[in-house]
Amino acid sequence: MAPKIDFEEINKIIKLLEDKNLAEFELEIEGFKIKIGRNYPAAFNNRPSFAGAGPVDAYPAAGTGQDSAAEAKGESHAVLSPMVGTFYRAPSPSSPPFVEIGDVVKKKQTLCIVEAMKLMNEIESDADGVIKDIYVENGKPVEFGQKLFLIVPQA
Amino acid sequence: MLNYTIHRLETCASTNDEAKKRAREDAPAGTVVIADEQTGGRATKGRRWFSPRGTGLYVSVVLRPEMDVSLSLLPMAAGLAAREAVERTTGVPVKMRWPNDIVWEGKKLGGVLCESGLSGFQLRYAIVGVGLNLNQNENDFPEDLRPLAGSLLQAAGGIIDRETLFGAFLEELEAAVAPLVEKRPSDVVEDFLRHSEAGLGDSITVQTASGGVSGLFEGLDPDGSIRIFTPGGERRFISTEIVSFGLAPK
Repeated sequence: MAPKIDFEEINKIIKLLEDKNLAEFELEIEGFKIKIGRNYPAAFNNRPSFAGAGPVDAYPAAGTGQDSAAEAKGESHAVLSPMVGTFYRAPSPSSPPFVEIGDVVKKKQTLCIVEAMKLMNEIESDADGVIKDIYVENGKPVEFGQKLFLIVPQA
Repeated sequence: MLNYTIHRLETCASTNDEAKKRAREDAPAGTVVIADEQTGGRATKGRRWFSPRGTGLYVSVVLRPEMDVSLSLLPMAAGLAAREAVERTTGVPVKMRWPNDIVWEGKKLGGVLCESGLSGFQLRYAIVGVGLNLNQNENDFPEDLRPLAGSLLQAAGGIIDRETLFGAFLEELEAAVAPLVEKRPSDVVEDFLRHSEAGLGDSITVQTASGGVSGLFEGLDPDGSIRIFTPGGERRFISTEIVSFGLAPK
């Protein structure tokens, strides 16, 4: 069974990084690995920094530790699930998906919904580029930090 | 402390859409949209919320909670705020149906649609939307809704003043989200249990994507998971796998 780690706990770790002024944190337990890096200590608490704060930059190494070499070099970018929930590719069962493979997306564009206890969380793109891959099927459960989309810069 | 700024609309497709549009344009926490009617009132999963002119409360509020609040309990907290506002202004002890519906004698009087926007791991905004049936008679509802839907007029036996209820809701919303901000999520769950349509020990059915399981309601955990006692032993369902949960059909 995968260890239980949720949004709140990750946030505690991020706060700890800030409090102790650490640059990086890595944790591996029972096959689960999380790595958090911190470039912009102020970004997290600048609220509500609707237009400016860049989560992409603020969390460069957040992930499951399985990123490809290309991602590590910044050539492509994985959009991760910020919470445990159910993944939906469209706003309703009868609507077309928010995005398809090959679509050009901009930052702040809605890519999907992750539902948790009837809270509909719209996950916005945190990068400009082209959708290269969609890792999860519509209606399937997702874990915290699970890869949802792969975005590559537009050629 | 929330400073409410109220935008009044005669009509709109959905107050949640209006609030979301404003939130994405940087509207502060406490931005409120209230409409006399919604032409495309939404519920979860693309379902419609019947929102005729002048007979309901259709309101959405922009919130910008800190990242580490128990965000997934926001719909339940918002539902509890609506419930409290109803009881305070009408005296009708309406009940909760998991996680955020307001019910009276088995009929749904209102519901909540909460939406949020996240970019990376950063929460950009949350929207609390509430739809409450106030002054509809049974014949005002479409025929297919009549067995399921009710109004406060029917529950209280008199005309409901929308403005009084609206003001009470805004007050109660602030009180209801406080336990989340103050990291006391179990207060929300306990408040829900106090007002739940399904009481502890009642026969309930939990629907998940893989089917329904019936048993006796044993309780809710602070993370929103449900425990039931079945002939095969105790079963626990985490909130994300639950499609619906309620009293088993008699």
